Amino acid sequence: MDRSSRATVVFRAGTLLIAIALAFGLISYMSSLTVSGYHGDQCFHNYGYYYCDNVDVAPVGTYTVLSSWNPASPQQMYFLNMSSTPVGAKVYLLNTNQTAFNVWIANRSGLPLANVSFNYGPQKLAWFSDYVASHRQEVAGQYDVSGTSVVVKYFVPDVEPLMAVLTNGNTQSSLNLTYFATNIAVMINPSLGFRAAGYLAASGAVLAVLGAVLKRRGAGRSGGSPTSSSTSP
Amino acid sequence: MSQQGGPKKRRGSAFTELLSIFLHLDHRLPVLEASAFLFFSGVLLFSSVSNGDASSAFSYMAGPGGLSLTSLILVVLILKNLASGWGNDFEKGTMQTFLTYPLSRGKVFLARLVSSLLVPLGLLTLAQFSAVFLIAPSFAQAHFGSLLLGFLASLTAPLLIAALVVLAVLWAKSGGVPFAVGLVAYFMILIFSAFLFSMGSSGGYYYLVWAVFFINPIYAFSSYFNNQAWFGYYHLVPTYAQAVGLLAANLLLSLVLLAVGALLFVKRTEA
Repeated sequence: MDRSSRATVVFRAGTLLIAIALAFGLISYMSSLTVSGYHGDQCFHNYGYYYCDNVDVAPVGTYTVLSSWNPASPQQMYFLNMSSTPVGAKVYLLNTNQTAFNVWIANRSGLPLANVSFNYGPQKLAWFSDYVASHRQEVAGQYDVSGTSVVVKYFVPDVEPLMAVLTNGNTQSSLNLTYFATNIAVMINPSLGFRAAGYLAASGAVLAVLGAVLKRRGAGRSGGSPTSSSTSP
Repeated sequence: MSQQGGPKKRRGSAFTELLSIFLHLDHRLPVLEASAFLFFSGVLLFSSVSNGDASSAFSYMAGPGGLSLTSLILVVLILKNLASGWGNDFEKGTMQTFLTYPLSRGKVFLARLVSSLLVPLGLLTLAQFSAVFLIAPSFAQAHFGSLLLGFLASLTAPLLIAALVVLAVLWAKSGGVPFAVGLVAYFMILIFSAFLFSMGSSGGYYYLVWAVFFINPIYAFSSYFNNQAWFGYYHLVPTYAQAVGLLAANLLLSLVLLAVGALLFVKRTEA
């Protein structure tokens, strides 16, 4: 391969890395978006898509959508819906008028392993996600539906599926939680994605600039010194 | 080009030089980059992991029936390279120039194939596996075999179409018709395999179902993983070894067709 071809290969490798970095950046940005708003009947808008399926409890009134994303977790937290064939999905909990509810992580016998009581709010939900994330090794593969009213299955990709029971203590009937599952399953950890995108873009830019410089230098050399090329037999 | 390296080195240099020309022709500046962007975004956006077992690992790669965004992009990219690229080489006579390189016809064919087929495949492989290892490293390690099988199964239809398009281009010496036929054939494989599978499995037609398994092994694996026996026809469900055998047979068919294409290219007297 001559010098010009080599410079072209280096340049194209750089542009290729930049393109991949753009993809990672875009997906990371989409993953980091705060979900907000509620639109239409049993549908909601997320990442440019409308989702109208997997609605377990018909929502009433105005809702605040809580993001379940846990930036502190090294892994994406997956919330699964309750359908018989769950897809990997994020579930956004919506709460109407509850100010507090308890969270159980139960074993197969329905015995709570963790009982966390907190006030309604996104930061608390994030804390709940954080708890599951930080304890996922010790609770992996131990959980099942315990027979209470609302069950949310968790799936952490590197361990067994988890399940958690959400209820407001002893008055389960008054609990008005509902959730949505999106079918947009595999999103990446934004911080990880942005970091990967940054590294890729930086190395791509270096390669692209290097390739361009090599090409220009090669062109200058072949064009600038006519005697050098006339020496061949 | 330097004459000091002897004939062996010259042949190697000629191969890489020809390969770089083909790469330049097939993947002009935004094409490869746009494909990489779409592959990576498509994989990250539209793939899904369901419950963390081998079945979901297979589905993550293979998708429903193989009809995924990445698969479609791959097919269009390969068809563009094979049909339009090779077709143009024949139509405009540039193939004659390529054949003047100090290389055997087989090597010229190989260089064209690497550029048109293996580079997009390599890019897709990189996108698929880097994405799943980034998202769920432990899951990817635990089910690497199923991920690989799913990936290979998702490649069966594009590879079969690619092999057929190579033959069509060599036969027609043009690219327009093979491109259109290849695209239609791709969708025919996907649509008809779904249709025939549902017909065969609901009626208990053994040979029909197994023909679908052979043409589109994704159905064989789906049936195996889901133990899908419609109307109680459990004899239609393949074993794991049978599903793997069907996948291997399909890939072998594509390789044989490509080998026939290479033979045709090598044996023909005119460019």
